[in-house]
Amino acid sequence: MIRVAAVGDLHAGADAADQLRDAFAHVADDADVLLFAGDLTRTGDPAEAQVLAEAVVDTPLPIVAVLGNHDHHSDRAEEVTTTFAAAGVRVLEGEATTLDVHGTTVGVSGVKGFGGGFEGACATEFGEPETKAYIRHTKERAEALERSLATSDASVRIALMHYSPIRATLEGEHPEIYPWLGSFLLGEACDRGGANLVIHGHAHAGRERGRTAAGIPVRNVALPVLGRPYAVYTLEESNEAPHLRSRFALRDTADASA
Amino acid sequence: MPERDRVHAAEDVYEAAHLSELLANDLRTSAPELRVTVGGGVVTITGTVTTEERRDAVAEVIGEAHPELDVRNDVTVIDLSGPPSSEVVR
Repeated sequence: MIRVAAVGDLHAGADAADQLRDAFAHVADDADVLLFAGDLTRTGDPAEAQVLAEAVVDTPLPIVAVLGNHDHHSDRAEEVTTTFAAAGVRVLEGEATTLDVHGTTVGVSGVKGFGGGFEGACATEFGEPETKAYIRHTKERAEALERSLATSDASVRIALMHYSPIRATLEGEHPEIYPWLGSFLLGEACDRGGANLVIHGHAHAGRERGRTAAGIPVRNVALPVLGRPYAVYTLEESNEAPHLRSRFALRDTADASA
Repeated sequence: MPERDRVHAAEDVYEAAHLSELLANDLRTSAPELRVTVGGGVVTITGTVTTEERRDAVAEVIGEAHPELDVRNDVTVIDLSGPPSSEVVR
């Protein structure tokens, strides 16, 4: 049994230092690992990252994060990452980290993700250079996520991202902005790479629960959606949903098309 | 819709969009996720922030840009002191 605490869109800043410190003061009593699903700062200023880093630096839990669009706004994402790393927060981008939780290996594959929309209403890599670059970025991030998941040999695998991999957890947002909130390519990456749980943020007006096309549970942990400092999800090791075939798979996918 | 009303409605729609941009880029708010509507001389903002200071900054930024408009600040502050939610995921 693995207890995963998760939240995104904390938008840390100096004015929220006390609230953030209080919010995570007892997280180690509730969970085995803490995940941050991006938009950890307001503007991507390392000083804002420092506020959250100080709030969790003494937390006796592994903490894994991805960055979000806010964290890139000041073009100082590397400094933000370094700031978190100094506090023991592992920031992932297209890679995985494997944790030992009570003897169970837990792999967290993390990627910021990006937009583009969802099946039936999505942009394609066609036309102006700007459009092609936009979708190419999403494809690259999705491919990195799939590769990371598919090549993990952890017993429990979690996909962590900022942008949404499915449409369902965006319900409540204006449908016109779905292409800026996520991409089906991220969902496909999870279904092909295989995961027990998918965590994302970004969609403040969305809803918490959904599933990928292949049935993997997806949770939107944007702070405004949760309305609480974090959610705790308990996973059983045997929860894994069936996954589709992957170009990168090391594992047997014979059951994939069942 | 009469021509005059259509012009007013168009002004309101464009103004709301520009105010959303303002709330995103003003460093006091940095909040592109807030929703803005304009109608009848009133700007209404909805959404959530994590501190009272940020909620107040929303009205301040809008008020500075458009002192002629009334501001209805329906932004709420999320309480970070509550307990976490809990779910067994299947």
